[in-house]
Amino acid sequence: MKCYLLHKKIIFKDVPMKRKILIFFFSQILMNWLYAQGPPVFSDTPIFLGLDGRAVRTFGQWIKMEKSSVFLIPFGVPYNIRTNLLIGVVFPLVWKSNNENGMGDVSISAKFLYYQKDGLKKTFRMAFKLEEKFPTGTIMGSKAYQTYLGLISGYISTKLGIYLDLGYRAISKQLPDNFSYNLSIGIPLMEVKYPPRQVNLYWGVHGILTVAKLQQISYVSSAIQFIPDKRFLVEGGIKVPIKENPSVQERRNIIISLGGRVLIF
Amino acid sequence: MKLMIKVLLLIGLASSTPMFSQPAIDTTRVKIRVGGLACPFCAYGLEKKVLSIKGAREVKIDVETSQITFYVIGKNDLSEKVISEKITEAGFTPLKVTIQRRKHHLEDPEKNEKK
Repeated sequence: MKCYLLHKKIIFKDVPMKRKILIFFFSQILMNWLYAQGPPVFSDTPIFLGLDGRAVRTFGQWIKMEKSSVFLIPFGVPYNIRTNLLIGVVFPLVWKSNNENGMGDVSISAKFLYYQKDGLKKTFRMAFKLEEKFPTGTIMGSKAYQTYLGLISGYISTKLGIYLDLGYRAISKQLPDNFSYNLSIGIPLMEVKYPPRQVNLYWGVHGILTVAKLQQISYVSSAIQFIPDKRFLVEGGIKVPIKENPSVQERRNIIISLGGRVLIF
Repeated sequence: MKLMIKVLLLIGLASSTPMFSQPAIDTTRVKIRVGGLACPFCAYGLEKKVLSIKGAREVKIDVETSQITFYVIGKNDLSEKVISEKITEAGFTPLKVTIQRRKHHLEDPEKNEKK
């Protein structure tokens, strides 16, 4: 279960880049000091948890916007068909501050692990991901079919984790398709042991490139993760835009996320 | 004096050999060196998979040495192949599997192992 408890947008307009960077690092230090716990996962992972198909995952996401706020809880049910094949369904439930509630866009995904090279205290894995998102959203949703095909790779050792996912999203209703990338690097701050009691730090770069207009949105991120137990972790992170789509009249912002995950068996 | 020595010997024997009170049971100790064990949070699935082996208990996972140790109580037909399959199903690579079968007492397999 993945549980994002807070996902807050802070308006960040007309702030010089130098100050943005300062705020970015300061907020990172502040978060480490305040929470000593973790980040949202801004990148996907090629490691399947060996769940035997008996897991239920969910996460909550609270988005505070200028005029309203939204609380999202996508319920995800992953199922391991084989050791190297994982399918999942996500049903997002949405509550808005104006008392509207309903369902978001339902998605079905499959991850296929096609390369795995394990060594002592390290692993390198690559997986394909195929996702279909349906326009079932009554309150929040794209109102279009979205098909995503991506390649997820990761090198994870007890001292370092490097995650990269690249993907292409085709969107119906003549909406522009896009390429996306997420690169994250993580390091553990405490001794790696089991049952875990661990603090991890993550940094990342993320972007979406709209194909038709060749417009790019990119972010840098920083996150921290605290694992107090073998089935539970809490995490928090911050994303700062470094390049935004000039045609969209959106105000620049910082995105702060807090949450956690629980593995239910 | 002789009687006292006999009594002391009996007490000592009784306290040092619990087999008088409990019968010895077949205990299998399994040690596995696992490849790809780099994420402690991911090891939960591995522990769960190992515990799905009938009679498995006392699972210890040492991430630093990539070693899993567990005990199986009672007679079993565990083989390296079966254990390796379990590890593979959990998403990891079995590098070395060691199976040791002995007769032990239930309370503390590890303590008996040291003896």
